[in-house]
Amino acid sequence: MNVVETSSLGKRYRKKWALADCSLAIPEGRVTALIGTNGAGKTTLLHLLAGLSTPTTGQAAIMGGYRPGHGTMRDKVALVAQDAPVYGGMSVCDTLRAARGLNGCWDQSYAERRLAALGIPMKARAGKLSSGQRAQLALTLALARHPALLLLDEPLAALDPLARREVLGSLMGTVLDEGISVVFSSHVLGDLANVANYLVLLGRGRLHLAGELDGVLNNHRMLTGPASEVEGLARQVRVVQVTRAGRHAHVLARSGMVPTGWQAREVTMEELVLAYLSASDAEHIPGGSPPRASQEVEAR
Amino acid sequence: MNTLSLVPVGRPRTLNRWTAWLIWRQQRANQAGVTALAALISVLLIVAISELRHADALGLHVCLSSGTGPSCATALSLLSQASQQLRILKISLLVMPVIIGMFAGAPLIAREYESGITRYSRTQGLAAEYLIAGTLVVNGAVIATVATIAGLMFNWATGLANISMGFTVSPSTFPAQFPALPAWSVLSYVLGVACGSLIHRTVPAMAATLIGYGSVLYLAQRLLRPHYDALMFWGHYPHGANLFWPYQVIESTWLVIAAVAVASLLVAIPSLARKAAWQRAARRAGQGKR
Repeated sequence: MNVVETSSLGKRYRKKWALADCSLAIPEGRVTALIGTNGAGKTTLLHLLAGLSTPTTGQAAIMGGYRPGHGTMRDKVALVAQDAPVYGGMSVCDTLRAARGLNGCWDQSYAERRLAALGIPMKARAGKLSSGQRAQLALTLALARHPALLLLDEPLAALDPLARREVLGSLMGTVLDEGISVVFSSHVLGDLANVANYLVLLGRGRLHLAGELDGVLNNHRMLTGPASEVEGLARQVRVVQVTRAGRHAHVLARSGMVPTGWQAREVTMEELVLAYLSASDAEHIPGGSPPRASQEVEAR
Repeated sequence: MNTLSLVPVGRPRTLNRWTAWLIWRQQRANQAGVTALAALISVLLIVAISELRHADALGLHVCLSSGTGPSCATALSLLSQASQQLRILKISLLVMPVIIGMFAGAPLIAREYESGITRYSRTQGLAAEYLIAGTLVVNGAVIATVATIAGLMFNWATGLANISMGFTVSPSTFPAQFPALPAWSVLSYVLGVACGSLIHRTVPAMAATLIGYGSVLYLAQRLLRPHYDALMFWGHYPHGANLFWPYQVIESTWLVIAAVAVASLLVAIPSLARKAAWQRAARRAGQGKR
C-alpha cells in the first residue's frame, strides 16, 4: 500500500504555482525526508496531504486510496504544522483534554507519560512553553493519536541543536516502535540523513527526485575527469551538476555505470541534495531508484 | 505488515463529552461577555421597572388622566426619569444583537485562521464542521436565553410605561422586545460566524457583519414589515387592534428560519466545497493529459 500517492498534483496561489505537476508514490512504513529550499512547495504539499487545502489540479490519495481529509481517514493522519501551533491560552493539561474531544482515537495515558518523561509541566500555559517544549507538546498531541501517517512540517526549524536531537530521538523511537509512516519536511537534510529511508526533493514547486534513499544513492556517481569531455559525458549519462576545477571537472551524474576515462566515487546524501537543489535549470529528473511500487508514478 | 491493522479503531468521530468540554472552554469568555452585556441591561431595566411601579403605586393613572393628586409631582418625575432611562436602554437593546454578531460571532472562525491554529484544529480526527455546529448550538442557546430575559424585561418595562396608551407597534421599539430580540441576536451571531468563515480575518469580518446586519435590518423594514398584515391569516384583527404579538411572531419566525438556514450552510458548505475542489482538480489534470 502507498501511504501517499499523488498524480500531477498542483496548487496555484493567485498567479504563482506553489506546487506543480507533482507525482509521487511513497510506500508505507517509510520515513520520508521531504527536502527543499524555502518556497519549494513543502508546506503546500503537506497541507494538501493533510486535507487542509485543496489542489488547483491533479489528484492525491492517502492510506491507499482516500482523498486527503476524508472522514474515515481523519483519525489516522496527523499533521504537526510549522511552528507547532497549539491552543496558546490553554494549560498543557487542557490542551490534552481538548485533543481528547477532537479525536476518536486518543491515548491519554501515553500523552501524560510522554510529557512527564520530557519534564513538561501539565499546569504550564501552552503558549508560554519554550519553543522546544512546544514542539514536543505538538508532537505528543500527534503521537497520542497513534496515527498511521504522520506529517511533520519543519518541526525542528526553531530548535537549537541539542533540542533538535532530543526531539528527533524521541520521535524516531516511537515511529520505529509503532511502524508509523512519516513525511518529514526540512530545508536541510542534516539531522534527517540518519533517520530517513525515502527521499523526496522539491525545488521551486517542482519535484526533482523521489525514491528509496539507498536506490537513489546507488544510482548516482561523482565522476572526475577532463573538463573538455563533459559534453561527451552528457551524451552518455544524465548530468545533474558540473563543477569545474581547472582542467578537471567533477560531475554529479545519474548513472550506475562509469564511462571510460572517468573516475567514479559514491556520492553522499549531502552532495546529492545540494547538487539537485542548486541545479539552475529546474529540469524534472526522474526518480533514481530501481522500478518498484514507489516509482510506478514517475516524476516528470 | 499492514500498518492500518495495527491502528486501534477509534470511536466514531462524533462529539463526545470532551468535545462539549472543549466548546465550553473555548467559548466561556464569549458567553460570559454576552451574559454580562445582557445582565447589565437587565439590571438597568429592573431599576426603570421599579421606578415605574413606584410611580404606579403613587397613582400615576389618576395623575395622567386628571392631572391632580397628592403625589403627582413625584409620580410624574419618576415616569419621566424612567422614560429617559428606557430610551437609552432601548438603543442598547437595538444594538445588542449587532454587538453580539461582531464581537462574539465574527471572531469565532476568523481568529482561528489568523492565529494559524486551524492547522491544528482542522487536522484532527473530528471534522471541524462538527465542532462548529456544536459551538453554534451551544452559543446560540446561550444568546437566545439571555436575550429572551432582557427582551421580556423590556416588554414589561414598556408595558408599564405605556400603561395609559396601551401597546402599539413601533418600528423602533419592535426589535428590542421579546421574541424579536433573541431572534435578531441569534441571526446576528450566526451572520458574524458566517462572515468570519468566509473572510478569515477578524476585523474585516466584523465590518462585514455590521454591513450584513444593517442590510438585513433595512430589508426587513422596507420589504417585509409592510406586508406583515397580509401574513396574518390566523385570526381577525379589527382596525386599530393591538398587533404587537402577531407582528412579533411573524418577525421572529422568519428570523429563526434565516438563522437556521445560514448556520446549516455555514456547516455544510465548506466540506462540500472541498470535495468539489478535489474533483475539479482531478478533472483539470485529466483534461491536461488529453
